[in-house]
Amino acid sequence: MINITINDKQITADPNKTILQICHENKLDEIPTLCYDEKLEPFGACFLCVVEVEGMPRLLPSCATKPWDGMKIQTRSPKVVDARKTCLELIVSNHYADCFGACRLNCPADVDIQGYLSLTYLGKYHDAVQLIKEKNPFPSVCGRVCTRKCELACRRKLIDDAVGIDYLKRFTADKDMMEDMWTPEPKPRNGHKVAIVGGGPAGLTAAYYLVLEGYEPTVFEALPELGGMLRYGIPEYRLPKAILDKEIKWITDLGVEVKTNTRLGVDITLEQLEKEYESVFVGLGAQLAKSMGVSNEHVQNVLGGVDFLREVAMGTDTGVKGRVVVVGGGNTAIDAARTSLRLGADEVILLYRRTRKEMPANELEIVAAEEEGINFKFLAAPSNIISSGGKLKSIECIEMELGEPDASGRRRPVPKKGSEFTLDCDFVISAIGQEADLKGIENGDSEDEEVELSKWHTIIAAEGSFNTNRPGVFAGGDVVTGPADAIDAIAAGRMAAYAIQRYIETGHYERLRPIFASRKDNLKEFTVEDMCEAPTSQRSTMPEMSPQDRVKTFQEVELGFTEEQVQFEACRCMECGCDASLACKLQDYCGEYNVDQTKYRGEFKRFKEDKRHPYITLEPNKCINCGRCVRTCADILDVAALGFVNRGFKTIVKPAMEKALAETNCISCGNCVDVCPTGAIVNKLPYGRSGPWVMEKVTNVCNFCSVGCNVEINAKAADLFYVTGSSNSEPNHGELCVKGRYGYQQLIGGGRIRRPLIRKGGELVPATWDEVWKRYEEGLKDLRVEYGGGKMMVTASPKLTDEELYLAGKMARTTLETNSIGSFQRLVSGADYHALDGILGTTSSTCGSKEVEAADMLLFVNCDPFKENPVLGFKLKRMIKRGGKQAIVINSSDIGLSRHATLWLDPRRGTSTTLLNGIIAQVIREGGADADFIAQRTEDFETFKASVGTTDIDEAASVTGVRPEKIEECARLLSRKGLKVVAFYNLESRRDRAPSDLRALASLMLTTGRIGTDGNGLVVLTEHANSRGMDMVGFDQLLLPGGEGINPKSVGKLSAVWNDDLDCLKNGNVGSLQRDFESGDIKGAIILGENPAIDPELAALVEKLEFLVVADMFMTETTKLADIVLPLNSYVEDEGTVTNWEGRRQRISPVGKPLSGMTNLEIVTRMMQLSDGGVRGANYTHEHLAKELSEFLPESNGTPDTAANFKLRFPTASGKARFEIYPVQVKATEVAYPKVLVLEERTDAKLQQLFGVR
Amino acid sequence: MATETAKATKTVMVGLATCGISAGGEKVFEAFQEELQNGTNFVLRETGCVGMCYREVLVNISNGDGKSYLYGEVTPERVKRIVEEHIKGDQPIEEWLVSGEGKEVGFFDNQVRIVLRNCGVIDPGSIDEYIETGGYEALRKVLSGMTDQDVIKEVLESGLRGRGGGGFPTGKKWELTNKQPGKKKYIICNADEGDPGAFMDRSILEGDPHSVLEGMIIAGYAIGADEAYIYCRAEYPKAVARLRLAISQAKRKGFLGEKILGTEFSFNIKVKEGAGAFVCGEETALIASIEGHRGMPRIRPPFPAQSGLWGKPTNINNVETYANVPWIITNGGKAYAAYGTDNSKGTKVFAMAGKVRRTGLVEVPMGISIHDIIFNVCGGIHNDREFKAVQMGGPSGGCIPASLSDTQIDYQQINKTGAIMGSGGMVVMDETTCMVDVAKFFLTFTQAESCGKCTFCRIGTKRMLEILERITEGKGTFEDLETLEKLSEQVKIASLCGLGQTAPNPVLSTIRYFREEYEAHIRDKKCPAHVCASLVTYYIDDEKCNGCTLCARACPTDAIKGEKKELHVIDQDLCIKCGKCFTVCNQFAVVKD
Repeated sequence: MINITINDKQITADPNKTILQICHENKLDEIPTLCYDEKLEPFGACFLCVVEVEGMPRLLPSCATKPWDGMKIQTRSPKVVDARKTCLELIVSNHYADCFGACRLNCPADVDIQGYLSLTYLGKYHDAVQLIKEKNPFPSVCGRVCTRKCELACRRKLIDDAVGIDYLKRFTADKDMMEDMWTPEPKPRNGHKVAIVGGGPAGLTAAYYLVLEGYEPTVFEALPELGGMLRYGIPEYRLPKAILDKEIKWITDLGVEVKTNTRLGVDITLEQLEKEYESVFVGLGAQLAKSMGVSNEHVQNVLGGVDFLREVAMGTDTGVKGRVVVVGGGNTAIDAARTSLRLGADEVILLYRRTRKEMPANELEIVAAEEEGINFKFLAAPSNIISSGGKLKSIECIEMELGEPDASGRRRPVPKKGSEFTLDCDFVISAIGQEADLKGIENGDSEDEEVELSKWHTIIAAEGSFNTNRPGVFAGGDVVTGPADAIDAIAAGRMAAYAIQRYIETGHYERLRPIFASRKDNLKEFTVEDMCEAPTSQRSTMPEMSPQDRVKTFQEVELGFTEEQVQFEACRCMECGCDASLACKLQDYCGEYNVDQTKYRGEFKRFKEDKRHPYITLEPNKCINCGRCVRTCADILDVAALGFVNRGFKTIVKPAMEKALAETNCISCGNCVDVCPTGAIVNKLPYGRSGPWVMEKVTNVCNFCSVGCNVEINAKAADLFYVTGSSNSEPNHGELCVKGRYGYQQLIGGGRIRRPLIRKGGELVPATWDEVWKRYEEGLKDLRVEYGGGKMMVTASPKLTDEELYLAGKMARTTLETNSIGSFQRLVSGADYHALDGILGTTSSTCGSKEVEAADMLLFVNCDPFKENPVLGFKLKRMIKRGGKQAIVINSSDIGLSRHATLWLDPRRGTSTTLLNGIIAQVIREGGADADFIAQRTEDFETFKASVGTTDIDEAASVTGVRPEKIEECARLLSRKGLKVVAFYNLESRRDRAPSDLRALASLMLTTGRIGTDGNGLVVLTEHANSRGMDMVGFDQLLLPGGEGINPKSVGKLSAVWNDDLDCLKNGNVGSLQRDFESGDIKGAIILGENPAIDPELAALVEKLEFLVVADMFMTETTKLADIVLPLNSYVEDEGTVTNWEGRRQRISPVGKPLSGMTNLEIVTRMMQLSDGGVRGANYTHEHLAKELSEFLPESNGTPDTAANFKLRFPTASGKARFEIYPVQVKATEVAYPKVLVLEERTDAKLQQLFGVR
Repeated sequence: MATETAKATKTVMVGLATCGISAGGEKVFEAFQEELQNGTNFVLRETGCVGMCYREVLVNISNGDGKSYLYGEVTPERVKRIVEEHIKGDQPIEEWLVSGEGKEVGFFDNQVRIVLRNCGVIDPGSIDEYIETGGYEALRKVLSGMTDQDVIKEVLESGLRGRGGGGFPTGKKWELTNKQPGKKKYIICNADEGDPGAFMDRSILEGDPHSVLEGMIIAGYAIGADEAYIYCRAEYPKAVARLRLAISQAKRKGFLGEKILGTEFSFNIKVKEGAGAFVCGEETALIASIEGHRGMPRIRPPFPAQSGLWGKPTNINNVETYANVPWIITNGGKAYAAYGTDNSKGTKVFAMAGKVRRTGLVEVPMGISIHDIIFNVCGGIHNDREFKAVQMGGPSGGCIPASLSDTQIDYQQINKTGAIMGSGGMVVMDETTCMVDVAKFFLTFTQAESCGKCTFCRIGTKRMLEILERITEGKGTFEDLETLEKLSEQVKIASLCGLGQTAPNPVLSTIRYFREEYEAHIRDKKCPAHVCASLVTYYIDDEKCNGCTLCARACPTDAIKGEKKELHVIDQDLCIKCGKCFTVCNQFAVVKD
């Protein structure tokens, strides 16, 4: 250990660790890095992790620099921060990518539009609404009245029309409101009180986000009801009050105190509020109509636009009728005009001083007004009001023409001299603008400084933090900005709520830091040429009432989308934002270092997305050349499908030789996706939409082979999830293979059985659970009556959990009184699951990964871990290639490991037993047999030696085709004393299997003393996830829970635990499952997750059964024959434990609730209860089972010490291993090579085979 | 054998290094061959580059009486007369001689030739000639009694520093590698000479390959290596061929292979051709390349001396360094250290290029001033223009302005100026050189040659280059200049390897000494040296134009209008500033501004 100083703090450090590791481990600083990966050698590409070291002119990459004694390091000095900022600015100057869609960036409230549109498309309305409400608590309101800045920015406009975002929001929010309105759980109240003046969108939004965080807001509203302009400024036909009421109530119900009819300056003063509350938010809005500035405008029947609308909203009779002239071109003018029409005006003329093109009102509103027959008079402005006797007579106007553009960029209207004209009218409504009513603020009688106002008569508040000049007083919305849109007020309300919280917590004014967003526009203006090719599609039209009908009523004009329209419209979203935007380190750091993407604008790379791979999308524009994918692929997986290409600025990561990734040697393991710090390599999701969404992470265990990899299920819902390998624990340390990572895709989408089915009139039809259980009970009863007990058979897939298998076994052996249990998968595989029972007392691994890691030599017989158990294979290959381990491969084919092996013996197929015998004989001749071990730990060696031990090497060579020198070499290697050897054998692998080869392998290992001794062992792999668990819980005709064989002692013990006489085991009914089945003795079956009928011979037997219950995830050949089909949950939805090849018992947790309403365990429990009239079928919960299983199985989630079970004695009757003489086949087997398929077919075929899907 | 015949007859040696070949040396050689076939009596041989590349094709004729004559600019046509008058008639042709009889003696007078001792003197294809000039004596000396420590001590004493650019003391490097544990160690010769304008290593490999091999074998003995690689750029086919030939000759003679000269020492050398990536001159990238990986540098430490090729301790030196070794062993470290300054001993080879009168290869003692090299050795500036600056150290180096031309050739002195010794490229510039353009040139090179691994080098140099491009196009701002300086500093301190760390040097040194030129580009939109095309205007001086129409005919865009014998005018809107008119006008009527 050495002494170093980091940021002026002295610490002792390990000189073999890097500065980055030391900082992270000691929590001194989260040094940013993009290229560092703890599993890989330091690389030094991004140079973001630089630190300053005293005395060094250069900055050093902390990821690769090891400390020296006395080193003085600064991790955040100005020089360092500056360099990191430059580094990030350089990176993003060549990062032609959009973090978010233009819609979101243009939304004042920063709503994740892409996210909620994709959820909407997938029918996840509840989730969509939740997502919207993270930023905007008024989706139903905004879905009607929003000015849709998102749609203005929509890229789709470049090819056809903007996506109907707002309509989709409306549909989603309405639907959620009608059904089960999403409601958050506010944090516990924290006692901090906040006064909110103004119950409009700004105030209510602020109240909502404050109450969620536990604050206690009180809203003061001058008018009788909440809503502000939403209620009093927007007519009913655009925004029904009922909708508004619901959304407001939803907010206030969360715990917002409301005081209506309370006007600032009249009923309360600012000073009072300041005294009583910790903070005050002023969101008064802009409610005063601006005057037209013409003489006489205060006569009767000349109304202000907002005043008029407010009165209508409050139900006051305005008396509007006859000919109405509305002055103005904004939304208020249109609203006033259309409202006048509905109130019964004969004619409505809208006077606007510019042309239609310049009208600030929403285009859709203008069109609606035109349709309804409003007369537009453009290029005209009022110049005088003519009245007689204090009563309006007419309005004098003057024609305008457009002059030079003004500050707003619109051409300034100029009066045309002498063009005056008069319009006779009954009413004039002036809707030329509003301003804030600040009387309540201005009339303060405080001695303090008054709230500072601008020359536009608005409150001056700091940008982003919304604080005014008075301490603790914040202001936002129209009262600060002048009249703006509802969404602006909502945005202000949320940001102000954040600032208020920070103020109360810290006393400082802080702004919500905007999220960094890389934008293509920052590098180059986005044009239609930059669009990816997308078929054009017309925007869906909003169904609405006909103009004739709607002018007569205040009913809502827009009727809302249909669900089909929603599906179509949501799919029009082109998902411009990045799939990785929620998990992008680059984006995070750019925000942290306040990066300006335009600082180093220059040439940038532009490539097309590569979507040709079935599971992975490459987006080279987002690549930052950190090389983590390249290094992971080469160094961890030894595949090297990706590499660096070109030089200099043009350097890029891509598959070699300009190939598509799928055409390289890519094994689709997707580990590159996990390590990519940006969105340059992303998973292709099978949902038609890619989100991104914030996913809940649930740890689970892969169900596709016996390695037992930990996986992380990233779930939005039970049917919307994907798998990553980001957990960094045993046995896989985050690595996955194609099955683990993409196998889940088979589980989603169509085809899953979601409801129980029952056979009626020869057809399988959906049924209720009650009906199903009734039929089940009857079926069992009939059989019992007809044939007596014990005529059932229970089979289950080795994919099921320990608990499910255990309980199924218990059900069979107790309530169903049968020992006909087991797995058809095992029957079909043809493997002898009890091959070693006679030799070792068990047919399972005799050591675990600890021994594998410590071994000097690995020996592979009939297995190809790189293909069959890939994640284990990756590890083994690394051990051999880089870890200095030797390897011997005995396989007729060139398996993934043979190239790196010390020796590869390639016997003719089916002759490996002879080869192993030859090796054993040669080992004995070489003196490699471990005499002490043999004497102390084994039996019958002499007989064995006299038979197998005399195998002639030349004869073995001629049978196997392996040269005698190679056999000798192999024997010589294995004869070395002290060499630690672990042998691997895959029980279910068929490609290179030979009769008795496993027994020969075990005999070889025993001869050399390498089973049950330190650091040696035999690893028995399987393909199915829980094969080991199946044995351990005794779901096998020959095994009992705990993996024990059947003998009077073990049966007795079990009988006591189960409190059952277990007659089925005592009656000698211990045969082979197949024999039971074929004998016709079995009359009914419960089949859990298996498809025997895929095999024609078994299908014939299944067909003969009189009662068949099948539980599965998909319809199969077998379910089609069933009387009852039960929906089985997949591993993703399941709970319990599974046991991997080395006996590691790992817990899995479900995502969401079971699709069918019942868990697998509940289904088995129910069956058990019903098969016994409820006598012994307790109501099993996981806790019950955990307790019961602890009698037989090791603790879950620990590292098992499998080898310990063989250290002192073998699990045989005598405690010694017994050498057997086994049959040998001396003729090569004719085995056709499996067809080599292209990647996609291969994977899918593999997965389909695993799932039994056709 | 060669000397025997030389006594009797004349020996003709044609310079057939790459410089000679590109000047037409092979044709000249063939012409002499023809004369041989015609029965003329002389010995014809090829040799390497003597350094006077500006006078190629060079032919040396030794009369056999000790007198030798060096002909320059020999063409096949001239061969006949040389044969007639000199070989047959014993009358050297005075007007074609470049040396020998008092001509251009200055070129050699100020040089000290240790590394280049045999270049242009012996036939590089003949190991015997190498041996005759004392070749492999050093190896014999080493193997007949010196220990590895003796050898290292001798090299340490010589003060030899790595000639590839870094300038790390060679003896120290050998000592470090020698001390590393482990049986297997490697020697690598870095012959990946990549600096634009540098050709020292090529000339040595082409002119005297055995000296490099001998140096490597001695180094191998010193550090305890038995295997070596020469990493040579594939663009040097002649060098590769001569090396391969030399290796096979050395093996046959027992200087290479198992049990060298009957001792227990075995050593083998392989030639590995590089694919022309500049960054492979960086030692860790070079190692990656030999191992079959992409040539990308990796973070040091560990240094190659600790963990190099295939993870084994590896000593890497460049060609010139190894070529010095036999001389040092033969003559002693002290003799070598007699040349040079306190911290820079011996000699250094420079490849002279640019606006200097005598371009070519020179070897000078350390401590000589830049001025002396340019003016005394190389005859001053071409066309007697004003000396402006010299770029040293290639793209990693910097520009030393004329005002500092008294600077000594010494590692520290040169570093002080912001340039570096480098591998020995010297590009001389005169008043017609635009320093912004020079910076842009070198940065274009480094940018294209960056391995693309680290951010500052990959993107930072690109952005620097873009700023330089803007400035040379008259679009630059003072803010750009500020950004350029700041970015340069950051690229320097935060790049992974030497390439990136030194890439800003040309920019920073030109800004340091020629800031006003940058400012002129930005403020006045003018290129004072009239180089940057966008900032140059061509017009025709009405007093000088005689209406010859040459310019109008040369103009590719028909921008020049004018009748025969009348004043011509350039239409500035059409002019693309290619400068053809300027070049073709023989009245000097086209003016650049």
